[in-house]
Amino acid sequence: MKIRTQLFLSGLMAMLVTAVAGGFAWDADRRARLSDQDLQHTQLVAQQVANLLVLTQEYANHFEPRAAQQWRQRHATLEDGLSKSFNDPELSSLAAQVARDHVKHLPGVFTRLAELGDQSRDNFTERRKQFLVDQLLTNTQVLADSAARWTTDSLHKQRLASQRYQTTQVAVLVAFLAMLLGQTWWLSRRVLVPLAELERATVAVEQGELGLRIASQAKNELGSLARQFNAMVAALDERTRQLRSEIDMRHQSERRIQMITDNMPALISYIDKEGRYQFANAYYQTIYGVASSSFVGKTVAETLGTEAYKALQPYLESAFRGEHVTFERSIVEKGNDVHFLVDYQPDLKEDGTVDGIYVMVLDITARKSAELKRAQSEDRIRAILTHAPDAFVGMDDGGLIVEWNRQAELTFGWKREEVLGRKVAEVIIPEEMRAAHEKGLERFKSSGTGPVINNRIEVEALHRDGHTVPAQMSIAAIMHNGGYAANAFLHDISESKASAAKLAAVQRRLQDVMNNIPAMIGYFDMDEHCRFANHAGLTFYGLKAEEANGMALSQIIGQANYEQHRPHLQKVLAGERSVLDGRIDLNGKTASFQAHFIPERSEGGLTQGFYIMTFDVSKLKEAERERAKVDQRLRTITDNLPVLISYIDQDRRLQFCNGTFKDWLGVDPKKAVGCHVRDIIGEPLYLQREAQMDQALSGENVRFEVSSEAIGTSRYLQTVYIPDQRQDGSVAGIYAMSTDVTELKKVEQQLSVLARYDSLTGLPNRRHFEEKLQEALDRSERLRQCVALLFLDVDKFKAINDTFGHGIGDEVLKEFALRLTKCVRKTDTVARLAGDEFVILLEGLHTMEEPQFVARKIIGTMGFPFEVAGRVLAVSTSIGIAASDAVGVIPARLLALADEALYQAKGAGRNTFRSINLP
Amino acid sequence: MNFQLRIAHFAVLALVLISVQTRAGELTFGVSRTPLSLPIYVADELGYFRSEGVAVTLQECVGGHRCLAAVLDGRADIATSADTPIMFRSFDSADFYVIATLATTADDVKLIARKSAGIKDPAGLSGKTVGVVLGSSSQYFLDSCLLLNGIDPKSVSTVPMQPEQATMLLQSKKVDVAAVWEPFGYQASKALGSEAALVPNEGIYKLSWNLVAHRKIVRVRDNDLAALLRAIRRANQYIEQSPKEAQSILRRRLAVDQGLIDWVWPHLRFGLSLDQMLLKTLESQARWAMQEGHVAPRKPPNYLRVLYEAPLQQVDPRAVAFIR
Repeated sequence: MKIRTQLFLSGLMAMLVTAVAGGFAWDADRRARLSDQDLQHTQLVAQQVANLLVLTQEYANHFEPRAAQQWRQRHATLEDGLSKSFNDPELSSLAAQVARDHVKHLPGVFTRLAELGDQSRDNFTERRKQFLVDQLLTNTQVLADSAARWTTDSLHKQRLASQRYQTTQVAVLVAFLAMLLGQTWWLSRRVLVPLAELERATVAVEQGELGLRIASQAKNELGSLARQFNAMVAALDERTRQLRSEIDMRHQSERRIQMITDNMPALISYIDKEGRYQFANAYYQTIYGVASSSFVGKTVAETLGTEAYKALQPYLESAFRGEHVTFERSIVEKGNDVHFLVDYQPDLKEDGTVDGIYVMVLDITARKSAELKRAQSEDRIRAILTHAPDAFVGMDDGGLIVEWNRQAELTFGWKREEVLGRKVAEVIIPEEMRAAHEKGLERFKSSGTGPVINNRIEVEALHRDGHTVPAQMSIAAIMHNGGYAANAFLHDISESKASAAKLAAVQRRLQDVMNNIPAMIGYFDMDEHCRFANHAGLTFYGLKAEEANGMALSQIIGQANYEQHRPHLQKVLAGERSVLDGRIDLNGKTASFQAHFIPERSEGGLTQGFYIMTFDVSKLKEAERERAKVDQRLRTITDNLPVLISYIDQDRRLQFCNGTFKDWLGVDPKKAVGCHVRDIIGEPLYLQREAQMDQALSGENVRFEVSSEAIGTSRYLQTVYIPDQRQDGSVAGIYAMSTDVTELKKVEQQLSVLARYDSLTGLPNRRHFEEKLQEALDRSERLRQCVALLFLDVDKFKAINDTFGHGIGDEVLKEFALRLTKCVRKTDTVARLAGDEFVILLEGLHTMEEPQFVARKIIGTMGFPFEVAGRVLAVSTSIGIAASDAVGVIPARLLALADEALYQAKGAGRNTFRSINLP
Repeated sequence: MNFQLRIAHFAVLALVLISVQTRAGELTFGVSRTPLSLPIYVADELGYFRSEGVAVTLQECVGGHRCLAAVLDGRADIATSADTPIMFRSFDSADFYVIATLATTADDVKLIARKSAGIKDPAGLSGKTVGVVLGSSSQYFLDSCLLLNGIDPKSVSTVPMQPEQATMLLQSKKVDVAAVWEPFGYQASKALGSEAALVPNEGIYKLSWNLVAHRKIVRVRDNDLAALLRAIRRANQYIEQSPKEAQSILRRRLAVDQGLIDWVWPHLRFGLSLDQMLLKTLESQARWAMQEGHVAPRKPPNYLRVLYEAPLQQVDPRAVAFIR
């Protein structure tokens, strides 16, 4: 808050406090005055009541009219005094109210008493007078008591008002004091303290303490003043720092300039217009051996001597006239020549007058010496040129020979001295070339360019003896006196020419060979453009060598033929070899060819182009076709035989299978070739044959019978595997042939049923069992013994058959039958009814429970794993028991009961038995 | 009486003794059911007795004369009573003290007449049958009225009654007039309806409503009495500051309507005191009682001995305004 606002609020508060305190004081004063008045009034009333009491008693005693008159007067005054009411409820008293209640009744009583007078007529009047007097006195006493209480109350109130007045006075005083103190404290804290701080800060800034800041956060004028002060001091501080930094920089700059000038290997000085040194760098001391400061204030003549001054005087005068003067000066010092480059730069004022001269004297002795060395170097170059292995001919812009080295003498037969100054054209350019040379020279003179400039070209140069010399020439143009001169290097290439001729002869021979072989050979670049074609190729396509060169492959061989080539072209362009067996229609006939694509690689391995070598293979193809016809005839025969014929290689892949595969197995013979046998006939059928296949592949002839189911038909196959043995005895594959013998087998089975024993297990068959059962029932009835029938089957036998095939299934049944026979007595009958259904007939039993022991034994025995054809299988059985000791049991009834019990055992989760007894 | 019965009697006695002992600290306060008892109801309602440290059990009675009888019978320790019963009982008993005047009123007792009896003013009372509560302010008020108006009380036939019987007596025309205090005057007036007539009086009888304490607790339990008076003084302040709320308490306690309150309120003056006036009133009434033959003529008691000012002195010295 702003101090202005705060001051205003403070003033407002002071006014408020004054008003409130004044209000309180006024109120206290008013109350005190009112209570004073009240007290006086009550005292007056009390006095009047006392007088009334006295008058009442007087009148009651003597009944004097004077007393009555006075009583009435006094009562009127009293009533008037009591009726005065006070607005302030605090000042109205209960006692006053009581008094007012009673004062009005008094005259009635007094009048009645007065009427009675002092005569005593009778007893009632006497009693009444006595009562009235008593009433009058009592009521007056009430008044007196009320007045007294009223006075006491008023006195009390007056004391209270007085105390309140005093308290208010003190409170007002204290409030004023507190306000004064508060305002003083506030003024000091909010104004004086910040002002003092500001003053201290100002003094500190005056004394150069620019880092000082006032830590005031107050949001008032002083706070804002403090912040402005801080900002001002910060700006001042920043500016001071900048100034210091600038001064430092300037000092540094001066030091640097001084250092630079001092370290420059030149005399640098400033001479004023009086001709006196104003500044001389440290190099003066190096050169003159006296402190450079000693030059300051002295003239040139005084410091360098009169002689030197005389030499310099004209230049100095020119410089003082305002000219920039540069000149070289040489002196001999310690026997050596010392060279100087002197530079006078006038210090011109704005009006053009000269204020002084900047002098810079450079020691150029070293440069001079370098120039000398360069001249020597040129001599050396010339010597090198003289002994260079190439002929060097220097020519000026006029085409005259200016240089002719030793190799030029050897190459062209002219001595250096003989040709210098002569025209190049006359000396080494054959006559027929001279006109062109002259023409080119004209252009070269003006522009420095020409077809032979900056190029290595082969030319024929003229020898002194008139023959031409093949030479490789390179010419460089050099600027000379505003025109162009030329330096030519010529290298005799007679020998390399001879080598090239030899190479060409070899190439020719190679081409002859290529042209005479019975194949078309062509070389193509990466864009498939022909770069070479041999004679056979050109003849075949009716082209000349020139026509073929650069011609596209597709154009040469025709678009149709090109399409055959295309995939191989992609390969060869990618750097791979490839072979195409192609066909082409030729004069209405189809010819076969074989094209070889060979990439040509650079030394770095990159493909640069490719060769195509094409042979005619029509005859070979004809032979192949003949063979295929024979194959087809053979296949037709095998396909129509009602047997499966196949050839299985070492990896058990089908290499051949006849059409019967399609009829019997639903396998397409063409697609089957190359596939694994397992993938073609399926896992179950493969497992049926795997062992036999192993045997055949080990070199044995194998013959076996197996029942297979494929595409919904079950066949009994008789199969023969004949190994295909190589000369070294190893087996290349198997010839396999399977014949369908199902019909034969059916007949066999019928025969078995007709027989009394099961052909697979050797157990009694159903027919035999039925006979035995009837016999056993008859016997037991006769001997009064129990008979029991056990009905068994193999749990989940169908799954075994489906998974492992009928062969394995049969083996399981055999093992099952064997284990059953071991579980019963020799006198008991075990029979196979059909499939996996078996029955056991137990005779001569003592109890009906006996068969259950047998059943437990059988289940235990079957718990051991079955090892069948190298496999381990878990097999279990369910058993239904029907036992009877009854008379006249029908065999079918007993069998039905056993079947029912078996059904229950299966329902109970298999691998268990259930028993039903016939009563 | 056999042994077992004796044991039972002893047990009952023991229980009573224990209960009396445990209640020894409490003061039994016989309070008359009248608007004048308002400060006591307020103090009780607002818990002033408890907060002042005195345990008080209120025992309501109809009429101060009965409450005073309860004190004298030992059924109460303190009681409210008008001056008249005090005057009467002081002739034959010195077992009680007046410790303070609670309130005064000039219009508590009223003469309610039947219009059909033809009473228009006090002069009409002559020869009429008047129901009066003997030994109470009712009796004094009736005589005051008669004497003031020049009628010999002997010319009026009085029927002794209890205040609650007034309505019934008027309705059954057994009396022509009933001298009865509030709230029975109001109730009778209401019950009679247009038949009721209020006999005018000049209000010369200033009734004082006093606190009477049994001798056995005076001086012995002055502190408790002082605490009791402090509670009543606070109640008086409350009545003065919150008249509406005080009236509400009165309505609830007496089970009366606002009509009664409006009827009596302007004449009620609540304030603790012990004044010369009381002495004068008692003496004056004693003379009347003897003169009118209500009490056999004898030397009246010194009423200074009936007043006991110490507890009030302790509470408010200014309230005591008589010299001993």
